[in-house]
Amino acid sequence: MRIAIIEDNTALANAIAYRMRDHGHAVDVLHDGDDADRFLTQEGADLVVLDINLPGRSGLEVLQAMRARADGTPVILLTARAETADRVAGLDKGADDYLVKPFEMDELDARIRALSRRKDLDYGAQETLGNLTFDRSNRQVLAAGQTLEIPRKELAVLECLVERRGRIVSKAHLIDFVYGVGADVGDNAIEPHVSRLRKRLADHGVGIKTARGLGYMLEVTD
Amino acid sequence: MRRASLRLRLFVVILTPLIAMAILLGFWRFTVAQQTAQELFDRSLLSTALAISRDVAVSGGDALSPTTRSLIRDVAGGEVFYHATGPGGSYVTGYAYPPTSLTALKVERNKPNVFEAVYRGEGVRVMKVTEQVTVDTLTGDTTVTVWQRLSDRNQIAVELAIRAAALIGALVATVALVVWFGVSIGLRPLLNLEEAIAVRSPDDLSQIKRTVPMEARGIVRTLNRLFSKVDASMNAHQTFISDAAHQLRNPAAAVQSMAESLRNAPSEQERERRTEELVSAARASARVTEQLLSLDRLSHPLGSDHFREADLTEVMRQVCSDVGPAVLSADIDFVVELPEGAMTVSCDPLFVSEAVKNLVDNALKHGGETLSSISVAMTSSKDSVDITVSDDGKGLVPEEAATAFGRFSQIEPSQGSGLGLAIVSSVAEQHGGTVSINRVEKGASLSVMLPRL
Repeated sequence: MRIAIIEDNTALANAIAYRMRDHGHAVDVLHDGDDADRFLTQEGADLVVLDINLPGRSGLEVLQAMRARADGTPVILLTARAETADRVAGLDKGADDYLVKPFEMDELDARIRALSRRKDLDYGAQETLGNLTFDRSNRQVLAAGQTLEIPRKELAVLECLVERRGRIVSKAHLIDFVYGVGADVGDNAIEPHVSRLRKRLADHGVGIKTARGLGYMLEVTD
Repeated sequence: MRRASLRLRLFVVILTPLIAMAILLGFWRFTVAQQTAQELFDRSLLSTALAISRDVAVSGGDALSPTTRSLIRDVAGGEVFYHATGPGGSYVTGYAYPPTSLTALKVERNKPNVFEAVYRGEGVRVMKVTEQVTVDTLTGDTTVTVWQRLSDRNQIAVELAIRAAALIGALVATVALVVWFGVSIGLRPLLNLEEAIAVRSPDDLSQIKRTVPMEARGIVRTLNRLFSKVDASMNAHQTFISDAAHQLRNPAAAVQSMAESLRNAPSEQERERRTEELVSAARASARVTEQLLSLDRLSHPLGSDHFREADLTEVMRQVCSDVGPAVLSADIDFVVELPEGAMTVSCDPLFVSEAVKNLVDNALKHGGETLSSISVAMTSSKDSVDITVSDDGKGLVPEEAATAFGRFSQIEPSQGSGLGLAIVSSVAEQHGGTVSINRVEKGASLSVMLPRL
């Protein structure tokens, strides 16, 4: 998909751009609020990563202008710590998510992935995990070109963990994802699936770590 | 009035009652002068009347003695007119038609009768004296009437009043001048003080030592107190800034040299290893900046209006999810024990999160070789919430609290900035709580207690 990165810190903008290009997205980088506004009006984008503090007009003004012309493109705001009050304002003005600087690239990745899923955007069909390739569109896992046989529930667990890679996913969230929201399933129901999946993936350089009392995290171990 | 100059203020305050009093006094003086003039005139009228009466008796009414004539001429308050009738009412001497009283006058014998009347279109003061006199064997009442113009008498009263008014006026003018110029002289010590403060350089926050009048001592004391507070706060800031600069220089230097060494990596494997190190150096640099900002914001009192009712269970779950990946990635177990339901506490969720993040960071950084597990637990009682972060690492004993919680201080050299536990301590303090090192057999255990208000 086409991602517009609007950030006046050139190094940070480039770092995000490299990461997004590595994932196969088309990236436009803009360093100035006025340019960004012009670009978004004329060209548009599938997703916008927007800094609040910009030369020219501020990120919040750019966002406001977008929403005013009924442009519903998903927006992730980047804010500095000192702008905590702005975060609320940002969400009020129609931002879909926000991230406080400094942040982990994995975190931004996960947010973009989650947002594009929510908005039905094409994030990219394939995801590389250690020696494995996770094919999103066909919902299958490939190891060296061969399909790995994984039961349906475990595959759902994996899909959920992949979407939030590098972050801790709570048990409650996993249960909602695997069984559907509001399903009458005990907290422990998910555990056997996770431990079986963990064993299955261990040989392929992908680990599932447990944070007791919190949830699970997918990690490429190599 | 509040904004008017001191001079104007004093001027108005002093002169208003003074002028009011002067007007009253002037009026009183005028009244008294009128009375005095009247008494004086009446007395000279009486003596004139008596002298004429005597002359009439002596001379048989024909002529006035020279003494009497000179008396009439010289009497106070101008010309005296007279008219005398002998026994039987026959005209003897003087002006032909004396003024008569408008009201019927009951003439009492041997007693002067005084009244005011109009004579030839002018107000006059009249005195009529009736006596029994024997002239040439003829015995009867002699009436002597003398009168004077009222305008003459008033003129005297006015003259007296004017003289008094001039005196009072001079007095008021003197006071006005003294106040107007005296204020400047009286305020000179204050102006000098102002000048002395004005020429100070902005860096000079030393105490004001000059002697000032008693009234200004309060101001000077307050100023001195303010100066010393500002001085202390500036010193604290200066120390903070130099410490902070030092703290920022270290990770920045690390990032730079690591990046440079990356350029010369001999093998692909080595490059990858150095890249990892560069990333963690950069991460540490960002973390120090974040900690410095937190510490700076925590150095200003938050005030409870900054607090809001927050579900601490949810706040804890969120912050644990945030710090968890770093712990798990380091191959260390992460155990979180939170209460089942929501726990509403009035606090600043961002700062509480920051404190927990720092506690976990601290455990991760200072745990040493033996570290294999970090746990976060939250328990509550009726009036407090305890957040405890424990690990099985190198350990920390309560005796090390002063060093551990001090700013920029570390128990032993390490990767850390020495800010983490200082932040935890500040957060606890801002919330009216405490932070303590628990005595445990293995590893370190730190607790933050927040009151539930």
